[in-house]
Amino acid sequence: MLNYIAVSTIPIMIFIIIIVGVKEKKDVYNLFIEGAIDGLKIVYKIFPYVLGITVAIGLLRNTNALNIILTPVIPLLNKLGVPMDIIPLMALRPLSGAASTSLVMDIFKNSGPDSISGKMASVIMGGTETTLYTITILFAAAKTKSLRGTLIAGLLADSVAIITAIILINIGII
Amino acid sequence: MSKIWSCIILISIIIAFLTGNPNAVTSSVMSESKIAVENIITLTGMMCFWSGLFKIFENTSLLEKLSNKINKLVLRFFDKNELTKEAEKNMSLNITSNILGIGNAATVNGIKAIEAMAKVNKSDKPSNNMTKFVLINTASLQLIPTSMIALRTLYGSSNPTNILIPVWIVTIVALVVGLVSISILNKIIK
Repeated sequence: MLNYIAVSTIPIMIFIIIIVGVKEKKDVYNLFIEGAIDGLKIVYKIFPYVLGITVAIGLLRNTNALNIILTPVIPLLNKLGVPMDIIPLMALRPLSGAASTSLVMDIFKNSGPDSISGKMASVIMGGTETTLYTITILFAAAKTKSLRGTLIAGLLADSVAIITAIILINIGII
Repeated sequence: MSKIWSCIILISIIIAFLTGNPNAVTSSVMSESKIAVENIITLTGMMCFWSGLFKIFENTSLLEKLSNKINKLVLRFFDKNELTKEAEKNMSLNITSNILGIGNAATVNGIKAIEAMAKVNKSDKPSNNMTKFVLINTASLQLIPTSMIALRTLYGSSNPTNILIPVWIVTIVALVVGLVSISILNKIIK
């Protein structure tokens, strides 16, 4: 039942958006096209970031550097149930949306979206936000001179969120 | 970001030489660039589709109607004496857009809301309301993580939507931890 609701959410969302658009006599098709062009602009803008991160993380993996750097902590990570390919995502998630998206695609491609690390990556991405970017944009608009506790609180919330995601997947919630 | 990126690349190259495998660097740069293109192409259609759909949404009255509904709930978290009508309205719109996952609208309304709050803020440091509002924005309130579900589908997941419940749990945990810690920090850091 719960699963049926979950799989229905996206079709229902598309249905509602279009039916409300039609009911309010909006030019739905042209709005869609307009929005899709915006989407293309976003893709165009984030490709260099995706390229930069994919190559950097690929280097880290293919030269065995990730293994070598993490060797001392691997037993600990295993004990805590943290797969190695999640580590870069944990570090980059609050910093860059484009970078973390490309890390997730990397994990999906190498381990699959239904692997332990694939599930963890999905939940981490879905449950957290690009904290640093959000704080930067909003305080830039407010023109304030300090951040007070926001950065600490935001990163603390992210850390707890990521740990929660790892625990939830390890206890087999899905 | 520059420092992290340079470190990753430099360390990888040094380790490649130390382990006697500099060729891994060359082949990796070539193959990973190709993977970056494949990944972005995988992403493109989905990004454009949702962006198009949400453009329709932004132009309907649905967003404002939902926003009026959650207005009271949202305001409970803030000190009302310091909020102008404009700030209240944009805050609710921002949070509604975040919940629905309309990133563009959320950013625009969020900026309007914090600008309105900054107007009545006498100090050059952010007010308690502003820090709380920013914290709520750093939690991912999105009810349905559409792009994550789409991405899972594209990479062949057998059950792309099964992440919903853990995502909600994680979101709530992040929101509670964020709001509690900012309330405490607001008292310490003036």
